[in-house]
Formats: sequence, structure tokens, C-alpha cells
Amino acid sequence: MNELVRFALTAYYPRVDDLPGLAELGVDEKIQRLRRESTLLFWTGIVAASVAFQIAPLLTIRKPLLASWLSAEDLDQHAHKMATHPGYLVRQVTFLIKLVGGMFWGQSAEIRAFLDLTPYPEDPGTRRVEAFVPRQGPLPGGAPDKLLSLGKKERDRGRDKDRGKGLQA
Amino acid sequence: MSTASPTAAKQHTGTAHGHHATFTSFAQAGLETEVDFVVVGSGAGGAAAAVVLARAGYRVAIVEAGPWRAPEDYPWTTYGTIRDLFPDWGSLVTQSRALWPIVQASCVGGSTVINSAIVVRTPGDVFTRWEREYGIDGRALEKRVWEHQDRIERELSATVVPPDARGLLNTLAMDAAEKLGWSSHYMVRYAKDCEGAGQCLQGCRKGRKQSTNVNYIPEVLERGGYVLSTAPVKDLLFDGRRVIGVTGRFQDPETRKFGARFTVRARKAVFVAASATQSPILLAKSGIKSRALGTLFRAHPGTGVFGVYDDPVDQNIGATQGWASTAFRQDPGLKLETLAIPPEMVAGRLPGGGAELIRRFREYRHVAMWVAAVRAESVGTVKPSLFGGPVVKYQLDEADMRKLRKGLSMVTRMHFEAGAREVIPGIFGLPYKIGPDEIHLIDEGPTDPRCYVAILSHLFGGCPMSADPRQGVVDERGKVHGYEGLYVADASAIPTTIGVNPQHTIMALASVWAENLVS
Ligand SMILES: Cc1cc2nc3c(=O)[nH]c(=O)nc-3n(C[C@H](O)[C@H](O)[C@H](O)COP(=O)(O)OP(=O)(O)OC[C@H]3O[C@@H](n4cnc5c(N)ncnc54)[C@H](O)[C@@H]3O)c2cc1C
Ligand code: SF4
Repeated sequence: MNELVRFALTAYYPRVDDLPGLAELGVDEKIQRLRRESTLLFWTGIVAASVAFQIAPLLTIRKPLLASWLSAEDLDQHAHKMATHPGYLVRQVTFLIKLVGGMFWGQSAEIRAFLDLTPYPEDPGTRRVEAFVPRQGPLPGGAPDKLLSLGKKERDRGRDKDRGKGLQA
Repeated sequence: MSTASPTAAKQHTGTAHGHHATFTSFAQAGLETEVDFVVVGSGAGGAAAAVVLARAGYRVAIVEAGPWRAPEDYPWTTYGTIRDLFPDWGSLVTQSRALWPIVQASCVGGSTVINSAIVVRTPGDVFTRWEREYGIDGRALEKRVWEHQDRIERELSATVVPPDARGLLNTLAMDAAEKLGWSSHYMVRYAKDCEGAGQCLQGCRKGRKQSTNVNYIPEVLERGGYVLSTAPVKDLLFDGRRVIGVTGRFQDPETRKFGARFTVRARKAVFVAASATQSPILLAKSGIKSRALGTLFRAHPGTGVFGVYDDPVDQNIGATQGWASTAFRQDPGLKLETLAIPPEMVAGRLPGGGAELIRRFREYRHVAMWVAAVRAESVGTVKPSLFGGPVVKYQLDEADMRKLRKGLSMVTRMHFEAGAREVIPGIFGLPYKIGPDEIHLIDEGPTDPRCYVAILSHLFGGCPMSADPRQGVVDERGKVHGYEGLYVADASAIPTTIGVNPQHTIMALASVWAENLVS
């Protein structure tokens, strides 16, 4: 099952030039985690979408083959054509694969570095279990320099005078 | 913002804290208690009602299906958001021609944890319409709603997005609107000293955004109330036609296994505020008889286009949503907004797959997303499925689809005014990118909802308000027709769309209805 899902996800996010593909970004561990953490409905959906991806080359590139038997070039064509297929249900199937693959790929430290973004820390996954949870105020911190210089320009243009025009429609 | 204050918070000085109870396993003893008021759901409506009741000295129990996550618990990633904050991994979609995702949160604070906290007062014409079409005393309600909105604005720090938090995503939109001569504004949001971290949709880890889990819900605890988290209510309890409490089993948010039973009895009343998709289901499954139950489901469906700019926009740096125009609310019935989505969402949202998708994604730093939300007139239904969850049947009719299309062409025009070199419309059947002389392709584009990737996040109805029990589930006091001790205080009671972001309206309405019981 995991292999089937892996195949579909990595076909959508392959390496292109300097941008690594999902296959190089710890996809197996991510899939195992998804299987462990997601609901049965969600996991069933992604497995069903991966099965559809396997059997659909006839619909997309007119080849009566499973997707895993396609050449690299045909596979890439197949992935693209499924995502842009005239049939709504075919597009919806790929929507789920792209949603999950996009998260795995786009969240990785390597892709964030390409975008000049710091890596995401681990999601804590914690929750409050104590008997009393106090109110919480803002944590210390401030806007980054890039925003501050844009803010200065905004003030110079007199765009800091509005006190709540947006409150009324 | 005025300082009028109908139900203002007097500083609470008592030391008798209430109690937060959360998942306990099947093997452990359950929880049974009695309070004055039970509030089901802790989002915009539930929290607003609960705090009004608690301030009046009543003992209140808030019973919430999701876990309590404080800012330090919030996820960073979209994966974490779907896992930790969305109900059922965000799998609810409209079951009609197009399968559009219905986005909500399930946690203490409800959807206020993942929203952008945009504040707009309920427009006066909304009350006029409710009076005309649903027999509500619109003028009286309007006055009280606005009084509560004054108070809530003050308490939750409603402020204009500060210049230092805006980011190019938002300032470019203002540039465009100014050039086009369109009335627009930087948004007012419930945010204290926003620093533009751009994480509103994953929960503001900086604690700036004033979602109800950081203010009103802890205040209810401070005032001696109870909060039950991971506690999905399964049934209302009845004594004849009087509702006297709620019951269910705690549910582990990780394993989804059910645990010990909880039963909370209400001496005075139960307020249901479980959202537009869940309140009608809870009422239906508990056996409430109303022919209007599950009807008049409505929404402001929205979608956006990406403008592609020569210089980086870095849409994820700056307020997630900071600019809007409500100038087109009446004609054609739209709201225009900016919306930053994180890279991993863009990777899934751009059309295409494989190497072509990656090539398209390379432009991420140069794209800005601006969206149009439709003040739709289409109506749908919310009914329980065989498995107990909601089935939402809803689809935009031709007239509403034309509005959506119009909105997308308007934000496309704005992008070109702001200097975008191209626009990615994301509409099936149109080219991947269009230039300034191709905006007509959007104007003439399809009206088939299946050609658009839209979402529903502003939801209304399902337990609509009307003076007539054949048309509405609740009356103008939020009370369920034909039953005692049962009120609905969330988006599900709103019988129409309102054409502006709904949280402020929901909170004020819930406050009015809670206040009625206080006096
Ligand atoms: C991404 C996003 C962005 C948005 N941005 C804005 C914005 O900027 N401004 C604005 O005005 N509006 C915004 N909205 C809309 C706004 O957040 C909602 O309209 C509002 O929160 C709805 O309030 P509610 O009380 O009806 O439901 P919710 O806030 O959704 O709360 C319902 C709560 O009830 C709980 N619940 C459900 N079933 C049960 C049960 N059986 N037992 C116990 N508890 C239950 C749920 O877990 C949930 O916590 C946005 C929404 C989304 C999703
Ligand atoms: S933009 Fe950032 S700092 Fe501002 S409210 Fe949203 S998450 Fe918080």
C-alpha cells in the first residue's frame, strides 16, 4: 500500500534541476506517519487515488499500461495530464495526491531553503491537559526588517491614518 | 470604536477557579456535573455566549469536541494544521456537482483559531432583510448587536493591520485599488500588535491574534466555570420538551478512541454552538423535530488568482490577510481580499503535475494571491449521513457563479494595475497564465463550478432563525421553536449570507441571546 502511495506522490514532485524531488526528501517516513496519524477515510482516499493513478495511463496518454511500467518521460506526462484532465473526477483524484505530496515536498527544509525560508520546527502535537489554563497575552518579538522598511514607506505615504474604515461595509 | 459596554468584563478578583477536564480512558470514572448553563462548542458563538453568562455570575460548562491547544501547541506546517486543528483531517466537502472543501477547525476556540480574525460590523441592511423575510424585529436586534460589537472590538483589540505588519501582498493590493479608484482598506482584525508572522491560518503562535481560546474561554474558567475538551456531545438530554443537559464520551484526539462518559446537566439552559455543519446534526440526532432543520445552508464561497511579479513578493511575510474591499458587496455581491497561503499549499494548488508543476512552483516568491468571496444567494442543506456526520449539499447557481467569475476578473485587473506581468487564473479551461489583454477570458470563462477550486469557510444556516417555526429552527432570541431550555448561538442560526466576514456578527448575536437569559 505504502509503495503504491509513494509511487503516485513522487511522480507529482520529481527532481527538476537543483530542486530535489520528493523521493529524496524522506518520503517513506512521511507516508508511514500519514498512515499512522490520519483517519481511515483520509488514508483510504489517498490509497484509492494512488490506485487510480496506476490504472489511468489509458485515459491520459493512451497507453494500456500501469503507470509503474511507463518510461520516466511518459510517467511525467501522465501525471501532468491527469492533473489537467477534462474529467472532473480525474482531476479531483489528483487533487488529493497533490495536496498530500505538496505538503510533504513544500514543507521540507530543502524546498524552504530554496525560497529563502528557515526550516519549519517540528509540529509540537501537544495540547493542554492541566486543570487550569490561563489567558495568554502576546509573546515578545517584533516584525522583521523587511517588513519594517515597507512599514516606513507606508507611513511616508500617509497610509497610517485609517483608524477603522474597514469596520463598516 | 465606541466604548459603550452592555456586558463588559468587570475585573474578576475571585480565586475560585473552575476546572478544565479532558480525555480520560474508558476504564476511568466518567464525569458528571450540574451547572446553570451548558454551551456546546467553543468557537465564535459558543465562547461569546459563555463569557456573557459567566460574567453574570452563572456557572457555565463549555463542552468542546476538539482538544485545547494553546499558542505554544500550534502546528507550524499545513500537515500539522490538518492533523491537529481540523475535524476529521479536513475531509468534509460539498456533495454536489463540485466537491468544494468546507474548512473549519475543531479545537477549543473553534474556527477562530485558524481564521484571519477580520472584523466587520454587521451591515444594517442585513437586519432589514431578516425583518422582511424572517419576521425578526430587525431594528431592535441591530441596536443590541452593534452595542455588543462595540464591546467585543474593545476587548479583543480590534485594530487596523499596522504598517509594519503589512507586507507586499497587502500593500500592492492597496496600490492597485488606489489606481483603479476603488474604495478599499487595510483590514481591522482582532489582533494585538500583529507583527506580520503570516501564520494566522495555522494559529498565531505569537499570541497576537485574539482567538477565543486565549481570552474568553480562560476567563470562563477564571470565573469558576468548566471547560471539557476532547468531549464531542452525542446527545441532548430531555425532560419532556425541556432540554436539561448533554452527554457523550471523551475522544482521544490522537487515536480517536472513545473514553469515559461525560454528562453535564443544565439547571437553566443549553446553548448549542457547534457550527453551521454540526449544530443541525446534533439537533437532528437528538430527535429535535423541526421541518426547517438542516435547511437554508449558505456560504460565501471563495477562490483566488495568483499575480506573478518581476520582483519577489514573499507573500508569506506579512499579515496573512491585510487588505480588503467591501465596495462591491451589494453589486455584484462580492468581497475582495488578499490571502497568503504557505508554499506547501501553493505546491498543491498550482495547476499541473510532475516536472511542469515544479517549474511552475519555482515562481513562488514572485506570486501574490488575491481572492474573491461571493455573497451567494444559493441555498443548500445539511443532513446527517448514515454514519452520523454531516452531508452538505450545496452548489452555486448560475447567477452566483457569474459573481465569482466577475470577482476573479476584478482581482486579476488589480494585479495588472499593481504591476504583475502575468496572472495565473487557476480556472479549468483557461490558459495557465494570461496577460493584461486577456482578462476577457475570465469574464467569458465557464460558470460550471467544477472548473474552479473554491472553498467554503464562511458558513451560515442549518438551524435558521425565523419567527415562523415552519421556516426557522430558532426564534429571534435563538430559542429552538417548540422546546424549552434549548438555544442555538452560532453561524447555523443566521438565515442569510451577510456579505462580510461573519465572526463579529456571530459573536454579537450569541452575546445578545445569552444576555437575554441573564436578565
Ligand atoms: C480559514 C478560515 C478563515 C476565516 N477567516 C475569518 C475572518 O478573518 N473573519 C471572520 O469574521 N470570519 C472568518 N472565518 C469564519 C469564522 O471563523 C466562522 O464563521 C466562525 O468561527 C464560526 O463560528 P461558530 O461558532 O459557528 O463555529 P466554530 O467557530 O467553527 O466553532 C464550532 C466549535 O464547535 C465544536 N463542535 C462541533 N460539534 C461538536 C459537538 N458535537 N460537541 C462539542 N463541540 C462540538 C467544534 O469542534 C468547534 O470548535 C474564517 C473561517 C476559516 C475556516
Ligand atoms: S499575521 Fe502573524 S502575528 Fe499577525 S495575527 Fe497573524 S499569525 Fe499573528
